Amino acid sequence: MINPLNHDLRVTATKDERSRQEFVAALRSHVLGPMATHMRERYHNHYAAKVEAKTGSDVHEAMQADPYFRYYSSIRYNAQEMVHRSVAPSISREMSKLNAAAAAISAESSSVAALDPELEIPRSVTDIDVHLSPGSYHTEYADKDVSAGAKYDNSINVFAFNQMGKDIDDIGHTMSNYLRLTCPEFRPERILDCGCTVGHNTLPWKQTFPNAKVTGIDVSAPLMRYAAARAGSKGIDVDFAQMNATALDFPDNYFDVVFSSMFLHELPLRDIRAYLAEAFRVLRSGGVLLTMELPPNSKLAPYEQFYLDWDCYYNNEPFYKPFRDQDCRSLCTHAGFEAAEFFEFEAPRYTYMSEAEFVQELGTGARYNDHTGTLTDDLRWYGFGCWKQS
Amino acid sequence: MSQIPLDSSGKRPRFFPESGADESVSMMLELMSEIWAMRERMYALEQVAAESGLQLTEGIEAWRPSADEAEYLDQQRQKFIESVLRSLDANHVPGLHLRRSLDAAAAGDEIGDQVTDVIRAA
Repeated sequence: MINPLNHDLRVTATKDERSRQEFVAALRSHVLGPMATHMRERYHNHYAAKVEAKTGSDVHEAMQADPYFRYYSSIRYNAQEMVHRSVAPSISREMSKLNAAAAAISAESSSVAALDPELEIPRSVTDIDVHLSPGSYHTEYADKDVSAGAKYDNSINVFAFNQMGKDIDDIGHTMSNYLRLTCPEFRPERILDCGCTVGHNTLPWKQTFPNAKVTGIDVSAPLMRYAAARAGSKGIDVDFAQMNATALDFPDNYFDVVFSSMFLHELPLRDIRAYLAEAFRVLRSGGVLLTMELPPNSKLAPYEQFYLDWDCYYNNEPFYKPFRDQDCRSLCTHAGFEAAEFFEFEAPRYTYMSEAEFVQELGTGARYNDHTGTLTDDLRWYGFGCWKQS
Repeated sequence: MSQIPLDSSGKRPRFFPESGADESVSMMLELMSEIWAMRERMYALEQVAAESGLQLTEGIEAWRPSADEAEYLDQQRQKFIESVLRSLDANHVPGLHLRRSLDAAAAGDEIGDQVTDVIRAA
């Protein structure tokens, strides 16, 4: 059974709605588990020797006529649509109640959402329904609406089938604890999370570094309202602001950590470059850029490149492959960071093991295989970053 | 107050060359979802009834709907069919799923171009 949302912005789904959510979570688990394994075997048994693929695109071309790939893809595509369809009706039905609950929580809470009604929402959000999510991430359906936040929170909870942490926060815990455990002398005072959606992976930074001031930003007003209310409900003091990461409204040399997760692959290249330049500007000397992302194609064998790029072709994420084709070190140096300060790593899921096991696993180094960035039991997250020197 | 839409914008990809195969997959999966929801509900119903000392089987066989109940079932059945067959509309009703980014590309926009190049390559 999928984990229930662990805060006071839960919506009440009917028995049948809950059953549909359980069904589609189970369907995704089947497609990304056994079906993905079988498809990989088919490729290596029937195509690899003939194709001699050098890139993921070569594998994609070879697999497009494969009947198993067609079923895998059509079922996975439909499952993605059904994720959204399984959660939207209950949120639409309870929209007034949900918006009132969010406002009431935020009125009592120290976590604020600073909104900017003048902010222009980028076309990478408005022109496509990202992740096949109807209405994308910015649409508002009522006054002071949070339903796009509820939509994302509920849909990713079905989407993740319990593989991304109890509060969909494993990435935040893994990355913040990676920093804490590998740099024990580093004690950040100001932490920024860019493109943070509802703050799933922002709150863990406050939990890992309780003395730090943590801020999350995103371009979407309904996401920021929901994020602040969600943080308030959980009693975790984090602020949110509606802001574009390519034009940060913060002074130079301000933050100790500039973090993002699963963010760059949603941006066109010019926005990735603008964001990293802004990150460099707002970081203080001795501060660190830490980026959790899908692994770059250069790290993966052709089949694994193809497997991850599926989302680019079929999940309305057109910038996914263009980002993964980039060299992360070059992106950082282009933004002003020193090449020698670049680092990258793979980490297991922090919340799925003891801290001792986590440290031991970190010591085994990066593998860059079919578990890197894929929702499997042996999932490992990829990260890269740069320290800013004066 | 408006509702969150259920369909994303954009053209749905086709994975099969045979006409109708993609829609059949959608139908099958929607049916699986609905059948599962029903089976889970039936199981819950029997458990709850039995816990209350009520054996339902004979009562269900003898039950006939009232006019209101019949109307409710008519409406629900129609919605069920619409849901299972949704992919036919999505794939075959022109204009329902125009990709907004195609318009952006037509307007000579750099981001729109990048969007459509990748989608077209698929």
